[in-house]
Amino acid sequence: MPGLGTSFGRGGATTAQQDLSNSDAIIIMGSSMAENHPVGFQWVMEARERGAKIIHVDPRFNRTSAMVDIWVPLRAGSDILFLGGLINYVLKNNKEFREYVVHYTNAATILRDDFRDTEDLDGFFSGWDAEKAKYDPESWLYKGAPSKNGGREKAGHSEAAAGHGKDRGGEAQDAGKFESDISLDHPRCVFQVMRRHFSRYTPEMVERYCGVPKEVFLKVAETFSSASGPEKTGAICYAVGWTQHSKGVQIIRSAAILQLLLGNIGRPGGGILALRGHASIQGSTDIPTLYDILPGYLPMPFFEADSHKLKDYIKKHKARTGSWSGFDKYFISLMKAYYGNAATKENDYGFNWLPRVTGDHSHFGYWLDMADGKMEGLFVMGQNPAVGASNGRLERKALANLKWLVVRDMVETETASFWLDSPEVERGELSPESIATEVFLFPAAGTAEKEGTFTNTQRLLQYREKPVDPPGDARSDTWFMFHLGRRIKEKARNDPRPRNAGLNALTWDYPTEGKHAEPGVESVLKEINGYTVADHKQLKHIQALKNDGSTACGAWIYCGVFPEDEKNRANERNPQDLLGHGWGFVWPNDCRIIYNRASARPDGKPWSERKKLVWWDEEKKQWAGLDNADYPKDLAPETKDNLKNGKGVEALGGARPFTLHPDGVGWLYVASGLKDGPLPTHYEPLESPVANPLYKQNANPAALKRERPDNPYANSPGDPRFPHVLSTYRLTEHHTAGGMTRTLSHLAELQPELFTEVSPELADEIGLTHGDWATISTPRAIIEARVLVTRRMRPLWIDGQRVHQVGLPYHWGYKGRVKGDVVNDLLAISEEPNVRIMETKALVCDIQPGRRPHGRELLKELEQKMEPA
Amino acid sequence: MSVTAFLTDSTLCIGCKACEVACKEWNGIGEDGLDWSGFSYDNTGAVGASTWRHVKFVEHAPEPGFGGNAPELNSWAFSSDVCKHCEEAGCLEACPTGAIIRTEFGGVYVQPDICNGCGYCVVACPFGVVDKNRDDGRAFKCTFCYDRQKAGLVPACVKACPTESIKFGEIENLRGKARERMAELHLRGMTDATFYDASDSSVRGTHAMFIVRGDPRSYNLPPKPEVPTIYLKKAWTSSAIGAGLLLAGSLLAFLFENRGDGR
Amino acid sequence: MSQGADTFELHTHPGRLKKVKYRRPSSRQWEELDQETAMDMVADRLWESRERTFQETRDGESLMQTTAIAHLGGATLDIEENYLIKKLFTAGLGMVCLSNQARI
Repeated sequence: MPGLGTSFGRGGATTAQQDLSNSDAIIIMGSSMAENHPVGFQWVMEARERGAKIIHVDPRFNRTSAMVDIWVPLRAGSDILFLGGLINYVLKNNKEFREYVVHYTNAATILRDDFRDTEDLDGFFSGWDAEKAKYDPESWLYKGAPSKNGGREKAGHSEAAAGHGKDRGGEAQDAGKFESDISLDHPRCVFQVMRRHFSRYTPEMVERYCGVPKEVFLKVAETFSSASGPEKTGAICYAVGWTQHSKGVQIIRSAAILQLLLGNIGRPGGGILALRGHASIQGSTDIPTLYDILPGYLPMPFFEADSHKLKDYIKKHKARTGSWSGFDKYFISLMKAYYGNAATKENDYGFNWLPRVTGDHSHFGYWLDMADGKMEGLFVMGQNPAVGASNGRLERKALANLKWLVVRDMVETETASFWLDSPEVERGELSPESIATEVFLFPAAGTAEKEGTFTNTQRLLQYREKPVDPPGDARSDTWFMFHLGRRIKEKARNDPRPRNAGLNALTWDYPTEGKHAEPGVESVLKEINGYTVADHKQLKHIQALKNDGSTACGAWIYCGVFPEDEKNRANERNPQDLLGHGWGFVWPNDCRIIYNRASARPDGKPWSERKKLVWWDEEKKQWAGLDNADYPKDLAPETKDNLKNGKGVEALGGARPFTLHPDGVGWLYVASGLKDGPLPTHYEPLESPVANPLYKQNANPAALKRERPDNPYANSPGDPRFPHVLSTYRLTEHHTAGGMTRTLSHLAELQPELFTEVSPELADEIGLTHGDWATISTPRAIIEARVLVTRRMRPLWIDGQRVHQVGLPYHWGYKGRVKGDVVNDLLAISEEPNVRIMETKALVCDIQPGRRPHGRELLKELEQKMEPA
Repeated sequence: MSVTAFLTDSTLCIGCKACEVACKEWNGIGEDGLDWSGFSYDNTGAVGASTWRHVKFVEHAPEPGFGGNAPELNSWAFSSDVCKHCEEAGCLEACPTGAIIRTEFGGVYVQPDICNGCGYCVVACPFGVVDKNRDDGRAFKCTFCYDRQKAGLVPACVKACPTESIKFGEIENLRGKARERMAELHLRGMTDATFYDASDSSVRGTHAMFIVRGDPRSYNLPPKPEVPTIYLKKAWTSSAIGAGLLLAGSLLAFLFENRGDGR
Repeated sequence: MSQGADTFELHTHPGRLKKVKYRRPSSRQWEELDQETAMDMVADRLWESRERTFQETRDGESLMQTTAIAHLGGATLDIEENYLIKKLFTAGLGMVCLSNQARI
């Protein structure tokens, strides 16, 4: 999550869901929290019951809107305009929490003279290379801060990277050389540059292009900006309604700026809560199965001139000041966990056994390669891309190009049976005889049939014990990986070629138990926690990690979860307080609210009694309070910083709460680490009915469209063939692609069929009948759905033009107890530049009454539809 | 052993249907139709033989600037319906086999092994809750989780509710909570909030009480539910009077006849 | 929350897979396969594809990579499962094409 990562230092929610009950105002935007996070939503309700004002900004009036004080319908895809409007409101009306902003953000830092804003260059920041279609971020740096590596490839800006790595950037700068002006008056200081950048995001602009009435906008602005200052705090909750845009990271950045200006980070009732939709989404980036990072957000080495020697790689990524000064300790300990005794100082701890990243190996990156016949094999575990991924037709057809496919799931998914009953087979585009793919479908154990740890949306690790054994041949994925690894290692055992050196060195001696030889899950968690190499003692704390190969640690951020042989803190079930200390383990160091040094004034006293969280205890000479301090425990507030010469977190002194950043402050302006600019800027979606009101540049220039004949786009802005805005979303009754819920009687009956939500106005205009059928089309696909006409959908007036929005939940497919067309077939494969996520929340479509054609007729219709209007 | 009740506070209901599913899971009830209704997000229709908890979705027209819970407006209301477990239960009174009993917790419980499927209870329920099973015709409805309560557990729907919209406890205690909640809601400007327990009707109060916004009829809560047997009483009284008159008449007739004989 | 309430059915419903299913190239049907045999076969396929597509160096520099075998994981997997996937597939076998739904 580079949006949060670059702004604050860590790519995780800054607070705990329980803490929402301490908020004075909450904005929920880019999320239908009541639908998709109903358990966590109880604390929003708690806050509401205590008198907090709850605001929901969403194109649809959904189950969340139904529970809040203020509902704001806005045009899907206009989020940055709205949030920029709030930022502008705060700045224009001097509503910022000045003392917080001056001390805890980079508002005072002065930018280079050659930096140019989008306001100067009609939608581009300085450094745009039109030929390469990417930015050179050199001119975004702070004044006086020479870039490391003499201006060569900057970390976080590698062409191949997806920006998950360390989730920050900033390492290209030396924190000792910044210039700043704490009066915030310098015309090139961040505060003034930002003021100019957002000056056109006025209430009138919001009304005209977001479709939000001015008085409603002002009501929100007044309500939320009042929840600020020493006595009050406000929180923001978001989910994939923000991330799944061609500019998703910058939407989150806008929220980060707003919260830093209002002094809402690191304080009780404040923060930004990234709501992750599944049991362990946070866990899946912390311990990633992503191509560009290693556990703990350490970047994968890229195939670049400076990454073939460990010392160059470390030099590039290690910072002198702040927590990333420990980069070498984290990385070398990981290599020791992976390669054991074979990893030595002499062989760079096995650094060259790690593969090098050479391009975009993300889901879409390799799937397009698959479509082009460049892949041989694929493992799919607990995923159903045939239904769940964008441009399903392309995804399914690509599977037919594989030599072999392994699927592990609890049921037979559409992905596993693409060769048998997919729409492509029905339409005659594929036939089983022509598909040479060998398919292995393994039965997987469910969560109640295996032990293991989830890391939930608030960075909380919770260990589950196993209530029952899985049925038949169903096994955990730990079992599968362990025994597959055993077999593969056996094949390589006597094969000394370089390619097998790492494989042979890989530590794989987990103890097994039971009749199925299940590997001991706790032994894996112990390795993740880390241990001393010499005497195999569990590490108690991140500070115990060493850079000399004497410690091993699978994920430095999780260090402390298993501090003693018999002490699994993820399995603790003894909650002591509202924040849940005593229940599970939160990374880092069991801090429930991170950056909580900011909950105290620079002198170490709480901003107010009402909002106290962590403070300096003068008697004990250490940080104390209601949470573990996210700060060196005995670093006194009056300690002077030594950014010029100091090292580590101590160099930041006693009053810089954002310890992962080399300058220790929150970043209103992100000088390094984002590929599409240091400040959020409004761009239209890749497909939009309207032109960008601010700039000639319509969409995010750095986003990747991946346009090709099998991934076509509508014209933008304003394609008359596809006049309406389309958003896809989920319902509380179903889980994503539906494999775990469409198959169940109790959930299938609650939402048995695909439907489309439309306003009465749209229904009138094109003749849709409630309960009847509609056909929805985009350049990628044509699908049909039942019509739900509801006043909860409404057309918006955008620049004098009535824009209709069409809603489609996406849970159905061609298997299960209840079936329906695959909504994701409508989406394009597109990549947001920083995390390579697709745009699902704002695209364009056509909708017509009646059912769609079948078989080849459908393809003909799609071709006709695409003929220029 | 205390007399217990539900208090369903729909101002806290988020429409997640966890109660509906938890009820079916605990009681081993399957789906009863996979048909899309088009009626808001409600595809299970109403409480019946195979749906013992049911979440209603009541849609109004939302206005920008007002969420559904704003004092001024109530635009998409959810409320979890259930058997009311009446103090004066029509079903119980109508049951000829003794299958329907009142439990020690105050709930009304249909004993499936005794029910013969006559259906008298179905027409005797003033709320349309009791329903005959399609397979064998026996009557089924919410058991008030009699099994769970006996084991010291709260009903499954209560356990599953994430927002404490469904409260459970000793009945008088809950009534007190309801009064406090009503005062609070009115103070917050939700003057349309209503407490419903039918204590002013012949059912003489229920063990499933509700707080709803707007007209209770929108939530299938009738304004004046009546136990049909109150009419039976009238009928019995008139029959008794009739029978008495008849008897008196006959006696008189004999009397006069005797007199006649004596003449 | 309706999903959480249905956990029992999720684990016990009749549609659960209990045996390994196998589809031969160009076949129109599934067949059952013994789990150990299936594991051996998958290990063979993985090994063969890696052998065919592995690149140890590029321009004389260490590359140690195959881009022809991929993994797509879910965020319903445990962190221990994810840890072993990354460890074996990337650090052991040199597979770089790893992805999951948590790309935010």
